[in-house]
Amino acid sequence: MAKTRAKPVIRRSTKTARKKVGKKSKKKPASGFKVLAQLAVAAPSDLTAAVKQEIRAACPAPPREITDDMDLSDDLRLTGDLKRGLAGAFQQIARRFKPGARISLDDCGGLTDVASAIALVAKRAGF
Amino acid sequence: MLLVASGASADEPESTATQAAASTSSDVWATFWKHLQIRQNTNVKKDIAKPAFVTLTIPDEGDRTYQIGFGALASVLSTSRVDLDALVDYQRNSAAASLQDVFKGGATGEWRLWSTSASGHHQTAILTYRGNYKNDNVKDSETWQGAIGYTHLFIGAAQQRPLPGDGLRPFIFPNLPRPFGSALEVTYFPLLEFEFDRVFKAKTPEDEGQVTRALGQLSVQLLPAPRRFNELKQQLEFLLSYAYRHDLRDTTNETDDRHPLFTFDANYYPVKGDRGDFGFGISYLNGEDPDEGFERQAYWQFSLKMRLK
Repeated sequence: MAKTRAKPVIRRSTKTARKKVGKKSKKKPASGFKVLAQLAVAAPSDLTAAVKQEIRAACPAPPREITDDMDLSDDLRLTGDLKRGLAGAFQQIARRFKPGARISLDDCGGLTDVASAIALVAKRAGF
Repeated sequence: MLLVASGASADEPESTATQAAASTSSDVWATFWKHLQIRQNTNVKKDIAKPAFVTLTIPDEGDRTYQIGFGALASVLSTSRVDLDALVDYQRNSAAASLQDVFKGGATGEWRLWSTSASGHHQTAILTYRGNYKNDNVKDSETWQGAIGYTHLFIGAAQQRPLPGDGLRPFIFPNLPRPFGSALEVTYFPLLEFEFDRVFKAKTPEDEGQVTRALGQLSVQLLPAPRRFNELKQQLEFLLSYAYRHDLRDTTNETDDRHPLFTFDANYYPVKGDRGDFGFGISYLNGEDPDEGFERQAYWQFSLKMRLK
């Protein structure tokens, strides 16, 4: 068991991001992949960084840089068990923005790429 | 995710309520489909998901033969550390010397003792559990089954304490893919389990009783040139598995206490997607599996295969 030296810094200074989301929410709701892409873009940078840090930590052989379009299974070699193992960490991130947010093992088991992971956490965090 | 539909409130207009109900219904089906898994069997959930297969042979003369290995898991409850799936399982083989015709229905799940994260635990024990009804049409028996298992999961490369060499965890860590350059990726899955059977209906009173078995299983998955095949949206895999069951207590009239089972699969999936794979492969099996009502035998099998992940 390895412990961290320093916890990731998640700031609550997300006013800008929330304003952007608020403006977007007045528009007609988009669907499917467009929604995921919007959520991934609208998520605050500290949330995005925290999600990527968790994905990196789970990777058997992490690359130097993790980008939004990377496939969790094919590019990052995350098995179903490893993807499901992200649930607790993602839930912690989401709860920093929205106490009581819930992310389940099954939610994470169904993730396909990094963008979908960011979108899931952003959605549950209330963005 | 909990698969429970929440109905619309009574004071809503009918059209709104109808729309909400339709929406909720479609949400439930979308969730059901998203988390549905189809695999060869469900007796060990924390295992390599072998693909399901169905083979029907209708000869001009003689009896039809069936070879079916089908298991489905549907999510009932899921939190960040605990989940529960409903299971349906049907195993039939009328082409081999020892017949098999077993149906199971019940529930299975897992409990991760700790959440893993970059700043917290890098490993967790996983306890698995299963409870189901089994109907064995060959032995003409009905059984209540239960199982409790244990395996251990380590998340990826150690980020907080960089490792020497290539920075990867050593090969000894289970349930964690270990790349060997770009040529090979190996993952192994150990499992310890106790299985409890209560045969409550059988041909004769002597066949009824209770059985407690200990199970040790080691499965290995080998993926040659994984990145190359991923670029082609295909997959080639070799699966080896050895399971040894030992009867710790048996009040039925079965005299065999040792149940080894070795399986080997070579599968090629020309169609590979995020949700499932479709392909064909070769399987070799030697041994017995009392949990699946499978008597001791050995055979090769060539078949089309499919799995939903």
